Amino acid sequence: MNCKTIKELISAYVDGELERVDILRVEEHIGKCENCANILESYTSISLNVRSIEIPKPSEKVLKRIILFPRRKVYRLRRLAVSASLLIILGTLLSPLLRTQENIIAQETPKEYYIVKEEKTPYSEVYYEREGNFVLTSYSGGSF
Amino acid sequence: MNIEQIFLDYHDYIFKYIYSMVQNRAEAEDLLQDTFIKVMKAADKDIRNWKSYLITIARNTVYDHWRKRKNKLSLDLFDKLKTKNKDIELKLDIEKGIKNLSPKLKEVIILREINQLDYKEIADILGIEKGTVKSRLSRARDELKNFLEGGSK
Repeated sequence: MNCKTIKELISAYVDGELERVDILRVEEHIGKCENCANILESYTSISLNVRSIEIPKPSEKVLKRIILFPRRKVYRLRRLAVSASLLIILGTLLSPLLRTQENIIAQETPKEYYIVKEEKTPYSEVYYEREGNFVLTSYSGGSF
Repeated sequence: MNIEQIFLDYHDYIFKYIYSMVQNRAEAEDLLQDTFIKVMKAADKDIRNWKSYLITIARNTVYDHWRKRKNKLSLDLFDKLKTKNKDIELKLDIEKGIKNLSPKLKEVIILREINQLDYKEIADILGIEKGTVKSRLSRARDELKNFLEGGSK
């Protein structure tokens, strides 16, 4: 068995994905070939190193936002603070006019919830929608 | 199974995958949210293997993100940003090495080492043969080895 064939097996050997017969082949070859033994050593150390890469945890703020709004109907409200303050101003100005509409929204609330998502990176396409006195941006989801 | 429980059980696991793919925390957090938004939209589906299902959705989300960003930025700018990130952010050689891998090789290494999936699970998620997983992992490790030994690409 030559080094080229063995080299392809070494990676699967490290992963414990080889049949018994191939395990024996690799081990026999490694015992005789220093070059392939080095490859095994470095693949193993790469594997350990990759596993020990420190990965940060998502921030509490983000987790809370997802947990607090896990609902069916999905919208996201962009630029939360700005929109919210605009709504308050609009609401105050127009509240006499909007009274009927507000009532309807209040009835619907228990059934429909919203995911409020602040975007930190400006990559997604956003569609604006009006629903009651909320300006909503609908989620433009990808494929799956 | 309720979606809140799923989120609590798996968000760390999924974040590890997303973060390793994009190697940027703010981006990864955004994509974690997008992933779970998609999952919530499909919450009625009968899911047998949540781990694989969530990784699949996260993977689509990451690829969508890359595609949109690529469309938005001109290619020049995109490359410049990539180079800039490369210089500033990374401390460890192995992380640099992973960043240098092509997406195909990068993702098999992440699914195998970070998410600790076996070949069959990886093959199912990527929609490829087990043999292909095996050869991609072998190639990825070979490239990482060359990179670490100084023969960087």
